[in-house]
Amino acid sequence: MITMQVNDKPISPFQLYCIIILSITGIMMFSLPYIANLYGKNNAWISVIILLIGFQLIGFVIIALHKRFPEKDLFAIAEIVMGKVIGKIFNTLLTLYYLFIAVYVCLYGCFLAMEWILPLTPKPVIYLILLIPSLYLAMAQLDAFARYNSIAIFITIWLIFAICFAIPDMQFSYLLPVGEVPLAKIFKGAIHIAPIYSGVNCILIYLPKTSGTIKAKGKAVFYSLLTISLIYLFIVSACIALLGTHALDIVIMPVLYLLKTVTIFSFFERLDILMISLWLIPSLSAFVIYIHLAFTGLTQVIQKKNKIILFSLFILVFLGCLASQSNLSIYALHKGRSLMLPYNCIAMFGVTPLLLILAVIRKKNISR
Amino acid sequence: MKLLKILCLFSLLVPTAGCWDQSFLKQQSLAFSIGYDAHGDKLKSLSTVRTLKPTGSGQTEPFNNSYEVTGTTPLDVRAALNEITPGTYSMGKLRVILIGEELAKKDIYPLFDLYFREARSNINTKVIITKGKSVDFLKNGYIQGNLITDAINELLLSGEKESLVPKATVGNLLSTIFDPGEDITLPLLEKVQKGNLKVKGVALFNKRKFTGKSLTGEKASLLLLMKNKGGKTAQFSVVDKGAKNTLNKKITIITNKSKSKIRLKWDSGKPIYTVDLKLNVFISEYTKGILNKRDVDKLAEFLSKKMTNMAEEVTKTLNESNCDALGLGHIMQVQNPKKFKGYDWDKDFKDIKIVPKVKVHIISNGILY
Repeated sequence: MITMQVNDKPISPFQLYCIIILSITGIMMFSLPYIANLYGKNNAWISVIILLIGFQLIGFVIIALHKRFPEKDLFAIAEIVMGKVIGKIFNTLLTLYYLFIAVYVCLYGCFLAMEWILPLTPKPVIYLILLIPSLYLAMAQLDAFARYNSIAIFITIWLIFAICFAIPDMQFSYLLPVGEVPLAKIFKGAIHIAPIYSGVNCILIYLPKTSGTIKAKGKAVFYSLLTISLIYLFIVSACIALLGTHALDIVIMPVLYLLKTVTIFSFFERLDILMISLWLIPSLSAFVIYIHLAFTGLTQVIQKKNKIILFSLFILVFLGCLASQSNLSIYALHKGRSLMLPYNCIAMFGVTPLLLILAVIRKKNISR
Repeated sequence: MKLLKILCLFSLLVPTAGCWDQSFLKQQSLAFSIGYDAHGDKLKSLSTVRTLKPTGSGQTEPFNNSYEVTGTTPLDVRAALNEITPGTYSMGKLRVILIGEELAKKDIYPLFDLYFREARSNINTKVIITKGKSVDFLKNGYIQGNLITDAINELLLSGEKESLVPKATVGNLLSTIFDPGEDITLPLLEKVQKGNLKVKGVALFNKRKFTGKSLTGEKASLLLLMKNKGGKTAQFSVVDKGAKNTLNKKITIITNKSKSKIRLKWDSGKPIYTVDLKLNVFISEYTKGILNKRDVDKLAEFLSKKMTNMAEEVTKTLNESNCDALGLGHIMQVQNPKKFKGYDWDKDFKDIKIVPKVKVHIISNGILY
């Protein structure tokens, strides 16, 4: 990847904080409360708390791995701890997984744009709207991408600010009673919303390129995962409190519905349309991060690094979108999400703990 | 590589055009209000579309056109309106939806499905039930020279501020429609002399159907305060039957702050709800003379008693109309979900015991002693 050259300027822990947040605030966030409510009902917010704890633990695992291999990224670590052949197979599978995620995100973005703002625009054009700026961003230097993220994070803050205006219409008793929903269902809800954290492994791509002590990096990882989980907790709670669990069963994009109900200062309304247009900015970050992951994995496998490879990844994503667009509906997207769920769980909860366990067992450590 | 860069730059031109979804305002007929009425098995609808009329020297002024159509569903109605309005009929700026009482008695959800379902629809539109046919409210297009939509909108805004009607928009109806433990309340509008409109009160619903019963004036305000959904102020006049002089019979108070707390207790397996409403009020009319500290305490006690009586009438009407406007079912659902499942709330609500208690605290006598 072009951004990951040795002569790249390192990014600061704050920039890492922004990158991690944006890697996780993707376009799928708009339907997060709907998915959580499908299983957790009025206790869906507990599913988010479970994820908060789960990903803090993953954060610790990631930092522990980075401490052992401070100069190496995720894919390089895999080759060290698994051996060259198995490591390459593992990296190939992981690369394919991130490519699929990139295609899925692109299709999801297209679906949202078609439903909300661009119903008549041809789908390939919508893909290009997402892909062309992403290509530009992905080709840029890492510090330029980090600066972009530091600015894009303000959109997330603006989203929280806008949601606050709906608080007077919310009924927080909709979040109660606690414990009515069986714990198994709440856990199932947590598993189903977990794919929104698909970009979490990107931390191990950017950590070696971050300046500062391990403590500062650890803090950035800890606080970024905490921040994003709290944002999700707020969003899920706000949507349940506004709509109630029964209405949430049918509203597939509750965050946008919530924004639709908001009027700021009696004249500023239809924030959903504004937000969906603005959300392209953080979505690009999340998308570029998936491409970064796929690119880093691919270059580790083929041991080559140039612009053509990066460009061909974009072509692959574009072709992937074209190939799977024939039945672009919310049902197809939800089916796709369900199909990818086991792989998502393995990638998020399996990869880094497995690498750490192998590193400990095989006593692999290059930090000393 | 240079060629690749140029190709990339040129490819940007494709998405920048945005010509597929351009929609010019001047090519649209912007609807500001729509009324729906029952017309046999069909819907009769009248929509006011705002246009700009030239008034000379390059100036324009807004002008209302009314279009009346019939259809089987709201979407059918919209298609029919699109056929007769110049340009594309657009509901993107819709401010008010009026529903005739006869239609509201059938089922109101089918009227809103279109607004809930379409991403482009405006769900901040206010919803009103009309006494009589809604078409009659809109057909003139103006009230005393004011554009009908603006007049209704202003009427509702002041009504909401003075706790006469609930804040009801399409968007915030969705949660209540689907909540098994709460019923909808909507503003009720009626036509009075000289074509003027009057905010009558609160229309009471049982699930999706208008019960035909309503709370008007002060009772409507009290209901909203009991729900903690009142506006900035609410005015109540209490009659003191013991007063010797007719002019002294009325005491008027204006609420400054209110807080209602609903509690659920169980007595021999039956639910009893207590509604404790605390009102901080100003005395705005008291014609009996000087009010000293002892009189104020006595008056507060008297007002509390009178207001409690009024609150009992409100809860009695709610029971009679089977309208759980206070969301009592939801409270039971939160506290004891298993017991709530044992009730058929839509039918059993009429037998639920509600004990209201109002406590008035006088914080000011005005600028007189």
